Amino acid sequence: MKSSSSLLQMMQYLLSPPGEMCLTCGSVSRLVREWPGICRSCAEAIPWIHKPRCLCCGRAIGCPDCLREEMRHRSFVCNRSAVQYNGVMREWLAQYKYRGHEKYADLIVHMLNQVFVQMQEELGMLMLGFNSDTPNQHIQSDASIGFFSAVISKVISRVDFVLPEVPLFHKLRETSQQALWKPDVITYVPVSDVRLKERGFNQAEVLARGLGSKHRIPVMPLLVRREHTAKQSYKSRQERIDSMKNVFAVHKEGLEAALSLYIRTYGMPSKASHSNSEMTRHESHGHAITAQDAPLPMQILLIDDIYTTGSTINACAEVLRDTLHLGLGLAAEVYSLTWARS
Amino acid sequence: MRVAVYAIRQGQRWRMKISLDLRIDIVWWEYVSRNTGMDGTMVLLSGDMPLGWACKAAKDFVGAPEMVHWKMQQWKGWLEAELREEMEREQTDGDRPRAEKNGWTSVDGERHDARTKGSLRGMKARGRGVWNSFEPKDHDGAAWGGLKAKGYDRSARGGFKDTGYGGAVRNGLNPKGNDGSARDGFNSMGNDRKVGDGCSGMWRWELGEPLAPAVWQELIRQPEEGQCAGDVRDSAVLVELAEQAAQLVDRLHGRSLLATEVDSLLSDRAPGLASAWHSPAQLAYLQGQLALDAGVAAAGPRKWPRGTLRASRGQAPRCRRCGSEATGRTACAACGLAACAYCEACLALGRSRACSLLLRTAADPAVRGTAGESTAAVAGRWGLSAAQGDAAWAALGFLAEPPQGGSAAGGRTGWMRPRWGAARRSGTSTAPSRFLLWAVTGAGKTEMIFPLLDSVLAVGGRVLVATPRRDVVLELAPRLAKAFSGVRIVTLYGGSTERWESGALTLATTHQLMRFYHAFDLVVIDELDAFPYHNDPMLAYAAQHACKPDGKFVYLSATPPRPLQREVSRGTLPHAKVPVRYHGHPLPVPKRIAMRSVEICLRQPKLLGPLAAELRRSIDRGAQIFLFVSRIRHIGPLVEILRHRFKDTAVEGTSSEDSGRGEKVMAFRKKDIRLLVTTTILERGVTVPRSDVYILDADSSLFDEASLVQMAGRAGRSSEDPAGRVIFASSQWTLSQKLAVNQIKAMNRIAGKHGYLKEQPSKS
Repeated sequence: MKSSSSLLQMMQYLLSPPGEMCLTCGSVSRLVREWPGICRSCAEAIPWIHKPRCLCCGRAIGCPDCLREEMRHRSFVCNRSAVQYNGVMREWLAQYKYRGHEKYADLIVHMLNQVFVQMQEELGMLMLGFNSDTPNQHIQSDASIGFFSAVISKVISRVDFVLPEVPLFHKLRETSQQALWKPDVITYVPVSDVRLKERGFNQAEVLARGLGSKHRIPVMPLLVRREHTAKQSYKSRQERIDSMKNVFAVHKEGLEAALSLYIRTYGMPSKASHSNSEMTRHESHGHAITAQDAPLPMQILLIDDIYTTGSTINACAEVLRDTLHLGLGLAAEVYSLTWARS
Repeated sequence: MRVAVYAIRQGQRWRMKISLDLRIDIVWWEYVSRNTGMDGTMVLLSGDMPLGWACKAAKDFVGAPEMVHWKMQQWKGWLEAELREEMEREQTDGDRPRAEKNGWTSVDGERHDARTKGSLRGMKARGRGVWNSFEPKDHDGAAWGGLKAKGYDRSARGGFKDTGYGGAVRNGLNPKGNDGSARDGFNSMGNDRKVGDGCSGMWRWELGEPLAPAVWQELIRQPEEGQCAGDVRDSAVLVELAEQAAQLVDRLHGRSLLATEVDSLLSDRAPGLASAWHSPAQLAYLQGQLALDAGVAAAGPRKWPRGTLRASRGQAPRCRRCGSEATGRTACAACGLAACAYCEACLALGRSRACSLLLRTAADPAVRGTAGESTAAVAGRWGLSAAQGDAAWAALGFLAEPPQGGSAAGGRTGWMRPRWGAARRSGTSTAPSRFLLWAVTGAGKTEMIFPLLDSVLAVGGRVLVATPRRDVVLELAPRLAKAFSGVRIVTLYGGSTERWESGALTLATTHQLMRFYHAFDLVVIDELDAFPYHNDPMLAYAAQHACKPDGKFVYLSATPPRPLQREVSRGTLPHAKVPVRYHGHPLPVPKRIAMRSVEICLRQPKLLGPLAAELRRSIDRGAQIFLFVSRIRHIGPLVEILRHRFKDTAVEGTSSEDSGRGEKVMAFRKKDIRLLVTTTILERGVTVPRSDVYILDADSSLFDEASLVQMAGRAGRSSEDPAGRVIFASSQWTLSQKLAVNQIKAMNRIAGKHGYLKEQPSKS
């Protein structure tokens, strides 16, 4: 049926102004260059968190959650998120995660990259500040140490438990000449095997791998999620809390690889563990490592799609920190980077 | 998901089957060979292969007698040749991200990335039960990474060996590394023994002979997820399985569902079956009652270039559920491929991908409706007007015709013409017959379909009424329930609670059609030309699949799309026209007033003079006024100007962006609003007694013939005021306007000729 109408349509297509279908709103228009696949109006509607108000969880608005007692004992250093989780972002995430529209992956990785760069600068500034005049992590309010440190010290003087006893920024890494913070390894919040088969992908892993390949930072699975046998809804509150505690476990092979990388970069944490066999059985031989020269903490960036209460991130960070610390006497700093902050 | 694939011989005949539970197959074929007395051979080609590959192999398989003598190596060679394209793609797609990373300066990143991908795979594999106990993780990992030997070479130099991953290094350095990764796709469970003849994980079993150890092991293994937990050699278990299979087939009757949808359906309708339906499904598949397929059909064979660009490009994979081209390809944890195709067009109903299982049932032959005795009898029984009765009677005659006798089957052009041969490929060679009920706006289409539905329901057929909009479904449901009180009616729309119910009469929105396969004897499609049907090949495909191959289609439309109109005038499409409204008065013929475009008029409100004069006449005669504009942005300013000009009249504007639309339409109906400025969103389905219609910028390209006729159809619908006024205000007299006016006049002329009119149409 090569009729005149299809010919006309073809001509109209050829003559119409250039445009592609926007991934998110479906309208045909010229797409923006900065973000893959979306149009100008969608790009402008992204609710970026340019300046987090809460330095702990990266929320754009004041955060009562982080003032709670239990947050003082959290296991991660801080969280940063790219966007606020509003209705539009909820729809995007639903399209990607639940419907499986994987064209969104590229867009979300780009967005995550944006906030990662922002995070690098922010933390880099802080590192410089700490290193220049406060070698023993004593924070002073000094105009010369930079904006972020000033802000931080101000915040801390007001609510002194916002940044708690988590070992923070032990040193300026020799490897990074410029003041850009860079984690040793990127990892992601795992999903269970059942969910992975059902969905076909782990959104956090896709984000982590995308980010890792952009910045040439190794991405490793350090955690596994245990299967749930019973449904959450049949459990009591205490059972739920307990089950949340035991949801995550370390991914042995991934952790070994991360350790071997760490060793190759910074040398052995101590003289006691030079053989591979002992490395792989670090649980039993863990205390062989002495604290003669306190090893540098391993900096781990944990990726997830959304930060809601922080309990998932915290549970993951706790497992990582405890395993590394109890097993190897190696300190770990877990930083969290999520796409959205609800 | 991953499945097993095997070849089976019975006598001289070879076939290829896929399996969700190989234990069932072993027991089944042993039983068949014992009962028929035929000898046979079962050759397991792979116990664990991506579903998409398995379906392709099974589909393309052509048996040959010499296969009896084939060695395992030959079977393997055949399989590799069959899947060469898939494996090549897997290579290239697996390498693509790698090629990016090869640019990295950091050896660490690359090495660890490869390593972690490997362990990801290892992790996944562990979940698969006993197979994995003899699966060396490192090898699997290396294969998954799709690594080039070069890459590993470097990582080995980078000191990988020191950290104790000798296995990975060894594999990477293995010159057969690529080969291994390809093979991994369909035989990951036997990697440990692949060094030998390369045929591990495959076995051959002559039916009737004692079970070989490998077969035996297969039979007594632990059941996997979704499989029946009992011992399938036990006859009691088999009887139960057979019952479950029958139940499953019954539940899935006329359905086309992905595995996840089956999960949902069963947990809703048959919880006993929900946890372990793979084994009964396999049994039903062997019995020939259930078709197992991949959600996305593999790409067609790459044709050798024949000079044209199209032929050399090869065919893209196609979604079996919606018929669209599956454009997306991503790494998939469910089947383990790096480039598993998925369909982006029908994501809203759950993702259809190359490794997701699509279950469809075999169709019964369609039943035929009974022809009406006479026009008068049909009209009398259903309370129809003469014009409605005639059309319904013609349609009843069509329903009573034998399937392919109608000239419509395989019509040359038109809406239901299967595009790209999609229907042919999916196995439906004959298209259902089609009938067009071309009824003018306000003719009373709904009443007319009642006799049609009744004639098919009366002989035990299943009927589907599909409409484009959810509110139409909700409005129609009670009317149908009243007319067919003894019939089980299911209403389906996004979020409907009756999602998995089945009844004789189904009322659904268009997208729900994709969940059906050869289910209905009669499919009635309302407002064929309305969005979302219009120009959407996906919904056309879905509608065609929902209907039995020898079933019937009835289209309802006031403004059929051009291709169908052409078929009507050519005489290739059986149809009936209802050229008159139920009240027997002619359609109001649009009158044109010349006016500058709204854009200019808004700047110089003086130019609205001629329009204002007409509006004044309408207001004075007490009519409700629809004022259609082409752009939402015109509504606000125009409402302001009109309010200023007609101070005594309530003027409002509404559009798709207006959340208070429903209330405004209600107020308009109640005459609280006299003049409503709106866009084409109100072109259909709104009936307001005593109304006049004004269409500004009628020459706009946004208004085609169909929407002009639809908008004009808002006027004069009630019998109290049958002669509403329709005004086209435009600066140019375009083809669309001309065609719309011609169509309306032609309908009035036909009505007059048949004597349906109570009065002669006024010449305008």
